[in-house]
Amino acid sequence: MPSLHEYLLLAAALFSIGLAGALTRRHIILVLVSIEMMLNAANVNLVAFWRYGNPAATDGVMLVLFGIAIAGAEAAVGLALLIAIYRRFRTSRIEEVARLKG
Amino acid sequence: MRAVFYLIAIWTAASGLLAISRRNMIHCALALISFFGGIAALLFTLHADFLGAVQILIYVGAISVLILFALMVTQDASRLGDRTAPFSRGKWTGWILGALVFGMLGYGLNFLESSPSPNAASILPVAEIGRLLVTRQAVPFLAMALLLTAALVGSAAVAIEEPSDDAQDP
Repeated sequence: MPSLHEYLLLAAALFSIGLAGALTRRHIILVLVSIEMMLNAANVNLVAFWRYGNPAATDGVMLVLFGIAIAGAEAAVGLALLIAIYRRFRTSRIEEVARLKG
Repeated sequence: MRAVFYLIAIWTAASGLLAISRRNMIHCALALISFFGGIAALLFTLHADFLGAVQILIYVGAISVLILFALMVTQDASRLGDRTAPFSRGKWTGWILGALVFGMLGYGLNFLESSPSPNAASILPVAEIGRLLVTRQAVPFLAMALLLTAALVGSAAVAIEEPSDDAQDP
């Protein structure tokens, strides 16, 4: 059984990959995808703490369940916004949607 | 057990890196599906079987399809393999910031005071979770139901085609 440290390190790596993706990609869908990756990494953290902590304390697991539900809602709304933006601006790149830019 | 963990860890991290670094969007989406699968496998190694199943159902199943669908809808077939400038201008800042955050988190983990051993619970108590959802966590559960309904209606309202004539306005 790997140690808690290894799980946390892996989750940190996955979170950082998601962060780098959100900051470097141009396409709106990939930014959303990167955010989902960060949420998933956080979920691994929470479940690892449940596994290596008190088994009766299921609060972390409940948080993961609610987090998955919120991430699902976020993905649905984000992709709907993307479709609306695409219809309006004919582009799906973040930098070209600049009408509100000063 | 440890070898399996390292295999899954490398698999997941490699899929994540592929998902953010490929130039072809479809490849990114496929790598993302593999990333979600890797996360599910990690949850299985943590004995959270229920959460692993939820992960497969929602992420590998639903969200992947949603993302592929959005990709197909918002790109002309000719631009799907578009390789021009997939990264933003400040990409090096992004890469460095990501590496920096990983370094900071990894450094902080060195100060973990104890190295606890996994608890004796062999499997996630699903019945207990169900009971909690209708007792102590009932209010957040209902709030979540409300949120999901609002998100469903909201995304339909946002994405619906308006017949207004200023739609041609760039």
